[in-house]
Amino acid sequence: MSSDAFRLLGLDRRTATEADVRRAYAEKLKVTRPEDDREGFMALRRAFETARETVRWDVQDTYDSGEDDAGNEADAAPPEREDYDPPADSMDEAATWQPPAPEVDPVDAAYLRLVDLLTSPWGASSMAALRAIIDDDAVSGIDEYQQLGGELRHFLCDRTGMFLDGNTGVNLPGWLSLAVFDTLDDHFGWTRAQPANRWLTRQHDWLVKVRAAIAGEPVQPVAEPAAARTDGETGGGLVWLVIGAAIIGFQVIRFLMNLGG
Amino acid sequence: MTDPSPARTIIGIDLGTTNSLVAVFRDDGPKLVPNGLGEVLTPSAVGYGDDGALLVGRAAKDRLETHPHLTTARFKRYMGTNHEVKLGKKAFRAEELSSLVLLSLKADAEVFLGHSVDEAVISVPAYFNDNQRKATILAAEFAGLGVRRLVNEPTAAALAYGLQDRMGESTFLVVDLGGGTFDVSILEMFSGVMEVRASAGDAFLGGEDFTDALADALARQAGTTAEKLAAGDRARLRALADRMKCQLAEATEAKAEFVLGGEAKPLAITRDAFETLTEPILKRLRQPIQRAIADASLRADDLDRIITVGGATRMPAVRGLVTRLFKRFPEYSIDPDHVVALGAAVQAGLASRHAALDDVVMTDVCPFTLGFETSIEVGEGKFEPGHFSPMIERNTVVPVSRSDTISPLHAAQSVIQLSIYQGESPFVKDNVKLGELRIPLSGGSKADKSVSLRYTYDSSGILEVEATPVATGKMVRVVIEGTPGAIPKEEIEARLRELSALKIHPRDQQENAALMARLRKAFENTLGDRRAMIGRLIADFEGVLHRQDKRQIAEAREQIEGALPHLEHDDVF
Repeated sequence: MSSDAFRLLGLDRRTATEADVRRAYAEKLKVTRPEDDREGFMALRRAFETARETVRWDVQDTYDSGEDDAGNEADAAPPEREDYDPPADSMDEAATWQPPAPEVDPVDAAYLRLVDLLTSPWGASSMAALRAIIDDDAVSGIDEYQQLGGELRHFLCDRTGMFLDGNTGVNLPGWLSLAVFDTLDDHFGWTRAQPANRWLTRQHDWLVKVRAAIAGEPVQPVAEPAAARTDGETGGGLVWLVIGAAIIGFQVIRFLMNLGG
Repeated sequence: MTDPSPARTIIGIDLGTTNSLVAVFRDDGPKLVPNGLGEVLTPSAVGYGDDGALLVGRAAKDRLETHPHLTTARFKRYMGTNHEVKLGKKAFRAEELSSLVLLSLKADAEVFLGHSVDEAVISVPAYFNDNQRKATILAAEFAGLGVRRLVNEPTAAALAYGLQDRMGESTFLVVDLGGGTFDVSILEMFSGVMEVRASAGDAFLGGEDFTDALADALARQAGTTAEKLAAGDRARLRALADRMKCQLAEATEAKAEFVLGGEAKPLAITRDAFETLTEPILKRLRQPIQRAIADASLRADDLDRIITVGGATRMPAVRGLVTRLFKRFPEYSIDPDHVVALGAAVQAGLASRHAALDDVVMTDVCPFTLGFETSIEVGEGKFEPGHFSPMIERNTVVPVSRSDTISPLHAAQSVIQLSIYQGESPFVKDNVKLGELRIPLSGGSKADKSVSLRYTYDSSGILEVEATPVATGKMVRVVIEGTPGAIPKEEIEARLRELSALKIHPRDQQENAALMARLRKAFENTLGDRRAMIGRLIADFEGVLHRQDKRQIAEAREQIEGALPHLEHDDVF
């Protein structure tokens, strides 16, 4: 499969680097233009993607985990080739590597402040305080926003019971009011987002359920008038409401007891 | 492949929500084409003139304020829908109004080139869906232009920028906020290849939304609301809001007087107040940017250049947001109003295989996921319809072709009614329906009823769906039935006949029409002595026009153009 791709690009599978693959693709592309030769282009494109993937795997295999590759590591899965043998020096480097600056990461700091604020036992979080943390310039850059949003999403999914064994329904912690959820969701856009991978899609779908559960919760008085919005469910919905309320009550009691102990 | 004879120039067109432009590719690069008034921006406005002939461009834009029922603008937002705009007694679809703008641009290009033109590359927002793209192609056909291809606006912008350093290697992000649409694209350039990595956007977010918000606020200042105003007053207030919005890009405060019911009302807004007012609109810019970067599996630091295009990126708040998100200042070395048209001309040069572009190739992606509706088995023989099954994932390089095999739910079925959708939701109800395909199946309940399904997406972003039942081998192609926004074929022909019967204001009289419209607008926006003087100018000019002496008309025009700036209420200061 991949040898065909390299042949089409006129490259040697054993020696080609990613730069070679790109250069070969660029050359072939100029005589196989998408608007002139659709089929030819589609074949070339497939070959390019396959070859690029292959050389990237190779790099993953042999490259020591130096700074060049640090960014890619999170994205790529570990190599699965049988003959994979981690180079000895990479282990050493990993062991002796030190973070460059000891200062606190602004995203981590914001995350901790948010969790503290949300789960504070001294009553509902103020929306102004919440917004002050998420709107802070230190965490509004593209990458910081992405990271903080991801960590918070995971936190919310975790605290609402998504990762519990055999989970059947949404578990609502007492502090999670509609106002809190909507303020965070409005900022990070979870329920509106269209994530690219299935794992994130699952988390987003879960948060949609969480919101529905909060909105349909009559026991929890919520300051925002948006709480009046109800779902079209009838009949069985009421039973679930009662069950949900019981679960929440239980959670609140358990939470308070934990605090005492 | 194609004959590169100079007489067959393909023109590049930016068909915008607010303004449209046409450009051609020359040996020394892309060149903008001036219109009959000597300007490169032709407002995307259409209306009937006093003589019943249609006016396009600046004259029509100015007449929005004086003749709101006979004039219209911002119709790009209705492309691909059945919405009709009434001008006087006749109702127009967005395709027809767009075709009138295209016709005017085509005439400008023909004068500029000295020969006729019948092919164009037209730019569309990357986030335009299949229906909106097809509507654009139809508009071009109405105007007698074949569309060689559609090019996505941010991609066109990137082409214009990329040409400056064509052999360099870089990754850049284009933020394109136009009058009505918002697009973000990430491109990678290497060895003359320009490759779009990811696109995201919002087809209903643009500079016009900022103007609307400001107009509403100004109406409140004037002690009324935008809805309560008469159509003409509303159009004048909106035009004023637009001028104040532009003023706020330069100054920290804009003041104006609005003549309402014979009374001049003072209006004022500071840049800070404007930014507070438009914060909810501004906030909508973030998500598409985040998504494009996530889809390209990049971090903000990986981007070498951040480029802003589209007139609305002149607003300091928009630039400020981009700077805050990327922690660096965006580039805008090419005029943000011109860059898309220049890029469309580069694409036209590529399409006509211009020798100067031999070493440049551009590849684009489809920004949407394309698929069809399926049912999921929820119990014993029970199926739940409404699920979306993707065929081509978003941000796949185009042209692309993907195939799959589908089967009917029940063995006894004699037909599969396939619904084709575009979107990112797992449920079809949240996605855009593109069409339906009726696939007849033959044989009894024992026969093989699987169908081979193929989706092909071309470089213009147009989808073709084919289905071939394995048993019969008889291919069915997609037929768009009952899709909102698609016009039946017979109706297309009827509308084309009606359009060609319309009387269009001659190009060589555009200057007169535009000046008269400007005079009328000035008359409505002033009071007292100045108003009386403008009234006299109108009467004089009408008299000169009546005599039909070209030399005299030109002289009068020159005089009025000299005097008018002093008389026009400098309503924004």
